[in-house]
Amino acid sequence: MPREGLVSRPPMRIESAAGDPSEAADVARAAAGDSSAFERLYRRHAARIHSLVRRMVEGEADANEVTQDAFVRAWERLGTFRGESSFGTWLHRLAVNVALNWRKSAARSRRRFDEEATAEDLPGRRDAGAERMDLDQAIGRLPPGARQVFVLHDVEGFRHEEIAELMGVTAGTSKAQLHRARMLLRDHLER
Amino acid sequence: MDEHLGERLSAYVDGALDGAALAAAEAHLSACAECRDAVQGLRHVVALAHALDDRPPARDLWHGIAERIGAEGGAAVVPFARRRRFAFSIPQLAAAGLALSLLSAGAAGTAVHFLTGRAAPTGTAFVPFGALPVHLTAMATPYDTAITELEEILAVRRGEFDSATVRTVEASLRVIDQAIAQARAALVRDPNNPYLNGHLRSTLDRKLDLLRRAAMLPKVS
Repeated sequence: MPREGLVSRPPMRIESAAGDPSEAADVARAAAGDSSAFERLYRRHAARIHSLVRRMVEGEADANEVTQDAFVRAWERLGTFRGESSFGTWLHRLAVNVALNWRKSAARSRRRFDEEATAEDLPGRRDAGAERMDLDQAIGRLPPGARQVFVLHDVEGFRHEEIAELMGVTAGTSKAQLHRARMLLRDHLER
Repeated sequence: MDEHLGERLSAYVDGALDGAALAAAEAHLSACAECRDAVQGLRHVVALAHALDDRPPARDLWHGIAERIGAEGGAAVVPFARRRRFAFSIPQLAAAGLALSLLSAGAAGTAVHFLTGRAAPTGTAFVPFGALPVHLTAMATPYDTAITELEEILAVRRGEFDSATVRTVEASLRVIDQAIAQARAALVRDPNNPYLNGHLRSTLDRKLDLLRRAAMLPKVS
């Protein structure tokens, strides 16, 4: 059963191209400049996008900033949305790109990311009954490359080839990072 | 014993190994408790990852977004003049219309010219909304609401389109409306037919999609 205050994530990447009828109208209105319609879209997708972003960056404050960036970018680029996928899928993809580019920003060089992090750096498990919450927190402490591949592959359902294209790496690198992340998380959970 | 499987463990867990690679991995696993334990642990991690919940941000982020997009309090409406350019072309719409026509080859009837707002003669028996079975009414309601909203947008923007675009959109909509009318008529006779229900839903989706695309067309300069 989902925890209180949480919403269940829709099945990964199986939204229909047409999407929700009322959402389609809001998308059209927002594309025409109606910010109230865009606010409704934000309300509908905020949890989904913020959860994705929070797992890809580190810390709530950064996640808030990147989430806002993603929605502002979506507003600016609604004109490029062709309806070939659902709005939710399009927005999700856009947010992935914003989060990946955010990491690359020179302004983020102050980040405490450590590519040499090991399982020992991860926080200890709180209790056996909160494994999912524990995993969610542990994901945020993974080395950034491994974390992003893990989130995209195991949480969001992207294929290695897609991840490779998004991140500008090879599929082999994506596979290696995924295995690294999984082993770190497995070691953490078994501590 | 061979060296441990390493990254192949994740490939094995994902079902990405086949042929000789899979046979080799299974042979190793049959003899290596350490790798078997690792497989079990990795599967547990993957299962947990699939079960993660979404959680809304701890504070409402809309205010910051609204400021950045110039929407005071999130309620302002940006004039059409500020709209961005869209990428749909008339050939694309024509292609869509052609594809849609395959849904109902030979259809000659029509329901409504929404862009002009005038009713058109129909070649198929029109089914009043109230005549539909209850479950179909429930299905149609959100579609009708969205379709009405989009038609209002298009009515406002009609003067921004060239005549060729209007003709193309209307031709496509005639075909879709014909298919919707046929599906509804058939469902009155056989309301629980799963194919007909699915066909109606997909056809409504197509109409909605076409309307949405049309509503997002760029203004002709």
